[in-house]
Amino acid sequence: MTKLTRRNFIKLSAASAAVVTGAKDIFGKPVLSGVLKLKEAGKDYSPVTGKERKIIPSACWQCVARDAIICYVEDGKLVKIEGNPEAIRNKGKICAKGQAGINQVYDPDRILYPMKRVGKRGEGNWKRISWDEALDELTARMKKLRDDGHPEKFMFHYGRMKGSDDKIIKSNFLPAFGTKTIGNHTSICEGAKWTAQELTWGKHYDVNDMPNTNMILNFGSNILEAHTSHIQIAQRTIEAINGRGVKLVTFDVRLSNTAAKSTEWIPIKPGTDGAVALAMANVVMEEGLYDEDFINTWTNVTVVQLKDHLIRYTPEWAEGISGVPASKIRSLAIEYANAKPGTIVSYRGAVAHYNGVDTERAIKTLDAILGYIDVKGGTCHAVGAKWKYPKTKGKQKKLKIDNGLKGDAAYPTHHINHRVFKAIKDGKNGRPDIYMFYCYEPVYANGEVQENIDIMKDEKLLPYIVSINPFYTESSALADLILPDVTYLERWSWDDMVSYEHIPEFYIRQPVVKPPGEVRQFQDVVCDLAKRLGLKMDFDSAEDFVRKSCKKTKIDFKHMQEHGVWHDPKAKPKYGSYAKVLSQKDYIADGVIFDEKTGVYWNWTKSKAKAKEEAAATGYTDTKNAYKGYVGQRIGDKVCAGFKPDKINKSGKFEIYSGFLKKKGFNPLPSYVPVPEHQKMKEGEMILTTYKVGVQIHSRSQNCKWLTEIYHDNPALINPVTAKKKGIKDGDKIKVKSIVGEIITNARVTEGVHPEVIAISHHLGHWEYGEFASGKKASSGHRCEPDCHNKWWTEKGVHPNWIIPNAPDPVAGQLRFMDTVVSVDKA
Amino acid sequence: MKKIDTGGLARSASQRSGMWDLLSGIYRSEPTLMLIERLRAPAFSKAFKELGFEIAEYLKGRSSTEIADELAVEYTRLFVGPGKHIYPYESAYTNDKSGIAFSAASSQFKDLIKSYGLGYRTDFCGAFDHIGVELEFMGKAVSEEAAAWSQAEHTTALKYLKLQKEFLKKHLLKWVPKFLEAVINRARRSFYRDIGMMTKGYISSEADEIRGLVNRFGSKQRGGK
Repeated sequence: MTKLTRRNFIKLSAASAAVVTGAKDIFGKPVLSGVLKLKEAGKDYSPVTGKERKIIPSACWQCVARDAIICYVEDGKLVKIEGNPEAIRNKGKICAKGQAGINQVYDPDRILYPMKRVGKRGEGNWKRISWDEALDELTARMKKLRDDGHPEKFMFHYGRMKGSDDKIIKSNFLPAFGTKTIGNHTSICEGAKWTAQELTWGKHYDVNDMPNTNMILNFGSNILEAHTSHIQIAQRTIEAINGRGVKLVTFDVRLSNTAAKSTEWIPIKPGTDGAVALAMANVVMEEGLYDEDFINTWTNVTVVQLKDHLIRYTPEWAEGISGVPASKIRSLAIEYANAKPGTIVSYRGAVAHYNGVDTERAIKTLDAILGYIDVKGGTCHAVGAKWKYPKTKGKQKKLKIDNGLKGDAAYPTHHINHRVFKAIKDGKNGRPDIYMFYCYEPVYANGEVQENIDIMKDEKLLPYIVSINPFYTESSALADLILPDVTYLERWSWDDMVSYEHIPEFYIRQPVVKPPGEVRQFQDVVCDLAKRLGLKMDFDSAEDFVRKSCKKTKIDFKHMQEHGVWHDPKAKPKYGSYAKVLSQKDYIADGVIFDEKTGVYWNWTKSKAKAKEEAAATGYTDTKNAYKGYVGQRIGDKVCAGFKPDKINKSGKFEIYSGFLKKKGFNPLPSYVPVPEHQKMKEGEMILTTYKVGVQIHSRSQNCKWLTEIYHDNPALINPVTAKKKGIKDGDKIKVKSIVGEIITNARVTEGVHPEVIAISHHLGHWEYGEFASGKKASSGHRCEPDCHNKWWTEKGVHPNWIIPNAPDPVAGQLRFMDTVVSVDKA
Repeated sequence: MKKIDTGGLARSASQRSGMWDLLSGIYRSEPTLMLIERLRAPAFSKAFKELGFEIAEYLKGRSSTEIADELAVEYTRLFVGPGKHIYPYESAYTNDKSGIAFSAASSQFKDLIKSYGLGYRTDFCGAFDHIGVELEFMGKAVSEEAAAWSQAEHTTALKYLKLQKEFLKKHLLKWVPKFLEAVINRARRSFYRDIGMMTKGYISSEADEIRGLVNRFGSKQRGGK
């Protein structure tokens, strides 16, 4: 019998070493020559020339997931991008879009020099100017605004701007200049989701703990193709469903690849996810499957209250609303309740509706009543890197246009920026004299494209438009000045995306190749602008900002240059952090007062209250910005960390009942409110839904030749039953018409879409953005891309946003992307 | 903190390296006369016996030439062919199942070896990802670890340990157990059957040992200051 113990192997090893060492000809000749060198490890070589490639860690920026990457450079040219294996978030993996980042750098239609409009706006005639000329002109205009006492008339509107890119602009340059007329783009993403979270559990962003969960319910999120943390959640979901047999149930109006890979795809009528979630909550309460302790201790409702409210939302009722069979809702609710724990994914499919906020509240409530909040395997608050960085203080004024028109929404905590142009047209709250947009496509990314074009073309509404953009996009084409920005592979920044390991990961982006032409990183340009405007900031370049941030955060910059990522190896996930008991010194401190009504300890000095007495009299809930001073929540005889509020003065409890919503005339408990337009649909009308595919980003990847070669046409998906009724066959030309316009496209007849839905992806149909995106060369493009002549496709698809109204949901102001009622006919 | 015995770690790594080299040599080609004679040394006989193997018995009582001839036939039958034999290279078990010895995967493995500053002997005409080559690579990695410990270069030693861990995970552990199962089942001479079992046990034992060492010394590193 063998005794293969380590001890016996050590003895054999000793004998081997004695016999083998120095003995020649004992074996056949060794195969390997040379000395194994660690410094050579991880190197990469050209398979063609054998030349060694330079390796630079950095970070992706194709989509908001922002994974850590490794870039390979050969003879100064970027040739390959891979996932960084040291990263705990994406664990060495990236998607097709990330690999095609190379195409961003070598896009033949990049803007290489500052460009000034010649002739009428939008005519497409441009003059190349020097950076000095460009910045002289811009500085003069900005100086005048400031000297006139109206810095707020300089509006900065951004799309994708995160990490240090964001901090340099929003925490330094704009405060130093004095404007707070800042626009973002969250309302066209998932603003309703975040507002719903702020009304219930506090600070927004949730992470589904896939590695530890026992069941996943997915309401309208295409997590395997396009989630906000795509590669992080996709790989962990696949590991869970394939590796551990975890059940994934996807409710979606369309058979996405996520739905196809799910254990079960349940087609659902658009805008009715909330009804199903509420019906599941009804079953949980009726069957007595709820977590009584969590409800009693951590929420602001009682079991009786919940039962009374939910009793109307029976599975049979939900079947009539959503089309999901009552028996399925009931069995899934019981299975989910018994999973212990499970987690629910939700995204734009669920929230980009009239009732999006209530849908998200219903979903979070379902997790809450089962005690699946912030537990291992449940739905958790997100954790991201907390960088420290230089800040510049300054008094800022603003034009109140970022929340759209008066009465657009009750709690637009992430603003209503798809309605900024309407507010500018309206003019009641003023108009910016300088409208600068950065990594944002106001024309293309919002609904009602024609109105966006008309407003941008009108020099009375927008006298001076500046585009910060590496590319000649539809919006850049309507600017007066274009300042060419670098791509993400040529820039310095640090980043902080949330981590599905529940451990913060710090990571940086560093230039992989030199930018072409006279392209400059905009964050460097603002340092230059600041000097010209006489503004003081504590850094003189984007690189300097990253270095200083590393120093302040006590992270070794050299390590970051070499590895790209860092996390504290001792850090552990903090599940259940809301239950942390605070010590007396935390809540018995200067400025901290107790609010009897809510049980909240809060520091009134961080709010807008002018005196302690005023704060105490007004109370926590009604004092402006009181949430900023939140310290803790009284729970029984203890004070706990609770569910920390953000943007709304909610208590430290998980607020299933929202007094804030009640105040504005909404049902305070999560409820189902039908989409008004869906109630008035005429015979034959359909609901338009938009979606993303796995190889395109919403609006910033169609210039990538590899991606657009794969996906360059987007026929409208229509169910065979509906198509037959309308006499539409696969491939037929069809007209899709809404109250704001019509588009012509082709039909793709497929059972993978709900019969009442017409689905069109929202990536294509560009009319600018260069050769690969639109077939139209950019005015200023350089033609050095060898593959330009190899483009074999002529299709460019259609853009559905032409016919989507810029309608806001009544609570958060979210663009109701998935509500549009359309007629569909053979063209 | 307890002082690290780098001298002891260097000695241990040196011995481990010797074992990897021995196994590499055994799989690389038919046993030489000199190997057979060396394996008859008392230290080996004792160690084999303690592990429970009959190799010493097999090597006893016959001339080295006779044994070498017999094992050459067995080696050819098991690993070379003609006819049905066991593929002794990685790509037959992982990327493609065709058994083609010089597939793209095999070339990728060659690139990997080159990236560590190593080259293949110019007259080598076997598969780039042959079991002998992979074991030889491990021997070199452990030998470098030994050198690092002897210089008390903890960080470097840890890097070599991590390299071993990764190489085991990505290569040897992925296919060698299956390969060795075939060797154990199909060997007609106890020599290769015992060597197969011994190799299997050693790789597993080393995987545990290396993981332990990486955990022990790896936790002391961090990027932050």
